[in-house]
Amino acid sequence: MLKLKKRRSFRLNHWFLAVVLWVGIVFGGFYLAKQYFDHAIQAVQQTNAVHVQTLEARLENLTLEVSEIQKGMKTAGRTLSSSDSTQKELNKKIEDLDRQLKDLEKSLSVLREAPNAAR
Amino acid sequence: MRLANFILLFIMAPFIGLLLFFTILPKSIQALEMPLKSMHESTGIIEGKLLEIREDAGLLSQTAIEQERQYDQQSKVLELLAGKSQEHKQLSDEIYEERILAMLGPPVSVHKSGRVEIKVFKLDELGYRGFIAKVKLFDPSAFKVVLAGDKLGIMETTTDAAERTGAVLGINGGGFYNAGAKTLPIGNTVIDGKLVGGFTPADDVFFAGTRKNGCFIGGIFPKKEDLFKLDPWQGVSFLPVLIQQGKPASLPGEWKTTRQPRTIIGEYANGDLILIVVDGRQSDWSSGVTLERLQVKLAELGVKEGYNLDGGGSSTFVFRGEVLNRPSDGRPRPVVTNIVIMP
Repeated sequence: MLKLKKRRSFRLNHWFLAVVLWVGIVFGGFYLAKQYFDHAIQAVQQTNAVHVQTLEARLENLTLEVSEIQKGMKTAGRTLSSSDSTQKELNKKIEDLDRQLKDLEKSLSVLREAPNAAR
Repeated sequence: MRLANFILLFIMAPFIGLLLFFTILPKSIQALEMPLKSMHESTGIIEGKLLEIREDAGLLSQTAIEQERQYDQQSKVLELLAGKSQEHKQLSDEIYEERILAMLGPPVSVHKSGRVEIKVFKLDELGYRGFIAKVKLFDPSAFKVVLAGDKLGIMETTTDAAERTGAVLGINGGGFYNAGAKTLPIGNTVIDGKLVGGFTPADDVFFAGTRKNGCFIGGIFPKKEDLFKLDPWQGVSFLPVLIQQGKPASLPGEWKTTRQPRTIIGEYANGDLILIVVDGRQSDWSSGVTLERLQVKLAELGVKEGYNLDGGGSSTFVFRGEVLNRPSDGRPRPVVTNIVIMP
């Protein structure tokens, strides 16, 4: 009877130990997994943050570039517009000169008919 | 034995779970990473393109600036050329004017206003005398043809016409004839662009006058449309044509060699008008001039166009209200049309 009791107590202890060990292993595994998971997530977050910062910096650069291009285009536009009006003015001056040269030609042909010149 | 295996499996279960967890989890975590590599590549491409665009924009701007600079330079050159051209034209005009004046001699009287410049010269040649007016019109409306009393059919002296209209200069106009109780102008007379009476076709009677812009017109016009094609504004008619395009025109035989008082209207090559009145029929003063000699004289003076207006006793030259010439009747004869120059 005592032997049977001892045997039962032994089995119970073994089972208890096995359960405790099992729980310990499970807890340890959970802890390790959590640590690993947290670390991995943090690493991804860091990587993403660095990449986003880099991207932000480059996008900011691009914005500046676009703004400078816009400024350059505006200047070019203004200059071209000014050139257009200058060209129109130039065309008018060419027409005026043409008219004046025709007047001069007429005046010279008149001079050729002057009394002294005829002699 | 079976129990032992079961227990072992039971014990190993968490390890198997962990193994599976560690095998699968990294891939899931990697999937959480943002796909930034492709974004970086795209950004790099955009940066490259923007750099190219910026360079192009810069080049465009430079080109535009250079173009504008060239335009400015060309504009200055054109201004310079225009100035020179203007100077040369002015010089040429002045030389022409000097040569005309050298042939006419010093003026005896000058009238200058914003509308007109009149220089009056004495004409004193062998056997005939008279007066010449060189008229430069700044305002074409200063040149007018007026009917006697502004009515058709009556007569008026050049003195009265000049006084009535307030003109500074006046000469008798076109020829005229008696038609019963009325006296009518020969050929065609145009006043302010309107034909006085009907159109008279002619093969020898000329029309001479001005257009609305003051340009001189003259010639023989057999058809009304030929005359009105030239847009006449003021003008009178008579015969014959003396000088056309600087060359003497052929004269009718009966007009060639007769010495008479004459009235001439003409134009210089520069557009100035010349009005001449020659006295005649006065042996102690002026015997008159033949049209042949007048042609030679006009050519000497450099006149480009010359037309003989009504002469004889009609020839009258009035300047500032005074008759300068000596009309052959001893006083101005009433005529149908007069040419007046407003001050």
